[in-house]
Amino acid sequence: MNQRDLTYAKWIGLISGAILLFAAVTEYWPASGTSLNWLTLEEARLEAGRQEKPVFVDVYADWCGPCKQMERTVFPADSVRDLLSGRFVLAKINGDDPLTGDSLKKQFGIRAYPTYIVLSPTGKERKRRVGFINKTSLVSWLSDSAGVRILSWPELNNAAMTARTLHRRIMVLVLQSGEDLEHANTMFEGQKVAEAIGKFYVPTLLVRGNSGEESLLSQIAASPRTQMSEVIVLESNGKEVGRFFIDRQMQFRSFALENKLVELAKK
Amino acid sequence: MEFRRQWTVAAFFIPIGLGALTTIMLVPMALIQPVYDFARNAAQINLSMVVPFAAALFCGGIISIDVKEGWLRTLLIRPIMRQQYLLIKLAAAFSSVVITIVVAGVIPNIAVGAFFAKGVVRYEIGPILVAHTLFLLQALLIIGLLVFFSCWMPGIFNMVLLAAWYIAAASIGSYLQSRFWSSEWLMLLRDFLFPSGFTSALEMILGNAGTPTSELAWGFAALGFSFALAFWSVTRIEVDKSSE
Repeated sequence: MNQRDLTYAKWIGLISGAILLFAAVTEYWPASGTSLNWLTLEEARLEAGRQEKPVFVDVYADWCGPCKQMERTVFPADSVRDLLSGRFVLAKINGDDPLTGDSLKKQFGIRAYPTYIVLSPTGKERKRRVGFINKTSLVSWLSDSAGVRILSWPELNNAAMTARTLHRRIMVLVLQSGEDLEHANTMFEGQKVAEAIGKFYVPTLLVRGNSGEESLLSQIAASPRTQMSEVIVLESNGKEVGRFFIDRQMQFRSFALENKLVELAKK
Repeated sequence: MEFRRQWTVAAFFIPIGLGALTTIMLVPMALIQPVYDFARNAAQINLSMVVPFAAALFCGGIISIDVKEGWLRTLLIRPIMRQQYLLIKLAAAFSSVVITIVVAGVIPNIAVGAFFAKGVVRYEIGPILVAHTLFLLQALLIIGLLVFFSCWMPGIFNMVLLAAWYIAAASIGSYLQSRFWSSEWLMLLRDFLFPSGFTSALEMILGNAGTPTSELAWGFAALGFSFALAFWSVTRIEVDKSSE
């Protein structure tokens, strides 16, 4: 009997080698599917309206490393490519484009590259992420349709009509960009805050950069762009009752936000 | 018998202590999370803490202690192949780690979800089973690596080496990512700094990011190689030649 027999080691090593080869082939074999069809923002908006699909916007710069890394390692992955080409109309914006870059950067409030924005078929911002995203996180982020419930708040005109019927005030939440959506959702879906809103207000949401919402923002005299989100409380006839910025204290202590909402409801 | 040898009085405190720690970590999460997702929290707690700690504590020096105390020599006097000896050691170590995962990872997660969660508690049997299967595979991988180390160096160094490998892989990986993102070869190297196929597969499954075929294949390949190295290394250990 050979106590130093190597049968197990050899067989396990051989099988592992075969699995390793399979893993390498599935991971690094060039993708055989179609490449992604990137359009300009204007073309994508038209196409999205026609197909009733959301728009995935990639804001990049030629000198940006993470943008190139996304291009090389994340977008060609099967799971990412299938999801993007199946569910979205794709648009690319070069933030350094001498003709359109500046205005688009200003419109969307772009602060860093790469920025990824999901717009609804009507052009309203739904989600935003900044920086390199690995393929798992990107697919998970794009697939996750649940969660951002403040997006289901009625639009300003409908909110005004509902407020008149229910004899309530209108609470307008002004976000500086879609990047704040998920954070704002967490704050406003907190139990006490949601109760205060349900009792006194008809809530509505405006996001800077959304098509058609700039004019509404100037109509309600929203403050100029800052780092903070703003809440403006209006009577149902549009007369302003009060406003406040969501400061750091409110972000971490929901009762401060709740107190402010109750205070303005009773003003 | 191997299993009994592992469970010294001190060893009983390992799952209990880890269980207390995981409870302390889970309670604040339960208080603030709008949805207490059992599978995601299990992934966070088990992969970051319970699995590596349990594996390190039960398997650090698993072979070297037997060599040092002469137990391996005693065993090899009998007609036992070294591979059989190693299989028994692996089975005993794996059973101990499974018990630790149950006591320190599963029970606290259920208890915290039931008694402390402020939001909705999500128990979905599919992701929970997949997550726990992948923890067990990751545990086997770490056990395989520690057994391999243990054939060549004393117990404490196994744990130090594993910890150093973890830390070095994380820091070198982020350095390469930030400085050498444009080099395809260095980016490829970054993927191989530490075997993470099972954890990547779990991330993909919990994130609904498609079928993790290649990730699982990387995981199984790494698991197989760690075992092959362990089986090879155990035949290289020199004990008293007259006993064989």
